[in-house]
Amino acid sequence: MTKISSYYLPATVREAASRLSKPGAAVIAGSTLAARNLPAGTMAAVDLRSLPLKYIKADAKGLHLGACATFSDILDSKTACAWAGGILRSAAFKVSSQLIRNMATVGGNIARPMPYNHLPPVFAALDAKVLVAAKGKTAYYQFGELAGKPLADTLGKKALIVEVLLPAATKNMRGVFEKFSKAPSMWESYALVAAALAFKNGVCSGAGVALGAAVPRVVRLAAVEAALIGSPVTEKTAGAAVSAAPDGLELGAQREYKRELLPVLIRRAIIAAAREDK
Amino acid sequence: MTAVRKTAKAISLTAENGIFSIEAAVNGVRGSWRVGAEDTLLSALRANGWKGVKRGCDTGECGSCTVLVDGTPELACLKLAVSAHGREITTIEGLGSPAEPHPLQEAFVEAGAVQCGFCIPGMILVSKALLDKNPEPSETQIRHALDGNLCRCTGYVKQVEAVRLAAGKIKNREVRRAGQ
Repeated sequence: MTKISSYYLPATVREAASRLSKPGAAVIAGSTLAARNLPAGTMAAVDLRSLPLKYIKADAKGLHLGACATFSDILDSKTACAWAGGILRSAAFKVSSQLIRNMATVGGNIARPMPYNHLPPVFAALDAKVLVAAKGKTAYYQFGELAGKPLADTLGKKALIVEVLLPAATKNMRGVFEKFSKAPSMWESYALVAAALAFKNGVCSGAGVALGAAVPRVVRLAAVEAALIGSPVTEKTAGAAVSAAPDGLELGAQREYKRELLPVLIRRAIIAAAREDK
Repeated sequence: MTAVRKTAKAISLTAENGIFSIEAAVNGVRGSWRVGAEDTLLSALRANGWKGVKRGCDTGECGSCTVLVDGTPELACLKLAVSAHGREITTIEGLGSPAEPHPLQEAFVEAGAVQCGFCIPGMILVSKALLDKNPEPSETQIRHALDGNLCRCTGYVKQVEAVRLAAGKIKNREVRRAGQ
């Protein structure tokens, strides 16, 4: 159980990062994990809710999702819901309940890399960039560089996620987010697939296919993507592409079930994304 | 006691002997609250007499502990009590009274939506937030709003009916007010 002695509500990102650098400090954002899962030894909580990071906006660079925007904020944003064929909307909507959607944040979904998090596969498939404040500076990192690891392990304790940027080029991709589970509360059985395809004259010109939950860390299926690009996407070509998925994926528990499930789910996502193009 | 230091808009709270003193409004009454560093918002509210907030799963899955935090339904079992500093918390006791029930409370009774009643405070608070945002929700929207509030007695049909009934009551009340 948590035993904190200090609680901070910083007003600026700089101050938040400074607070985080103190021994025993940990972030609280949406609070879905705060009461029971703060890191061991946490003495000070840094609550981000006063920071101006609860935004969703689009510009020439792409779609900016502030770190404190919640899943409900995504669902309330027409721009976010329309982006890449509605893949964000689908991922946000499939989170367990409205009560969790009201609390869980974009930043929290990547800073605490739980396998069942919905946004990491989407961010991986869309080549997202993550704006991180660290050591008095802010810089964008490719999501793939950070995916699946605690942020502090990669960037140090002072690092703070500011926003996620989905590149403008992904706006008109056709994206589909598939989630499958034996039961909603059994996250160990989850499999998540994000597939985003671009088409030119009916031919697949770009693809991002990522897998989450069924694997310990989100993975891009580069061989599947390569097999899709350059051809129209049909049941046949999608099936052939899926067969290019590596055999050596680390599947963890329930691997027999996942070996049966994953090819079906990946193919289903690809076909659905292609269908939207028509 | 807690030392509260404000710099610009930043706030720093320090616990003394494991106790934070926070400022929060609960059901419209603003005041100081002494909460343990380990307390969840659920346990703190119940310890202070707000027993309408129910302890169910304690893991964020059942919705029985739902409260409104600045008008948004959230799970009190997952939040640290100290995080309520500066916020407005509404529990079921803040909606109406036996003498003057809220239209949602009336509607849940009239529609027969209450059996054991354990999940109902959470359901009504979620419905309150829904109707504040969307006064005429569709059945699908009502079901989506209630998707985090589990009921072991019913099939949810009566609760959906109750929310629609309440939406009508609130609309009629506003029409009457506008006509006065």
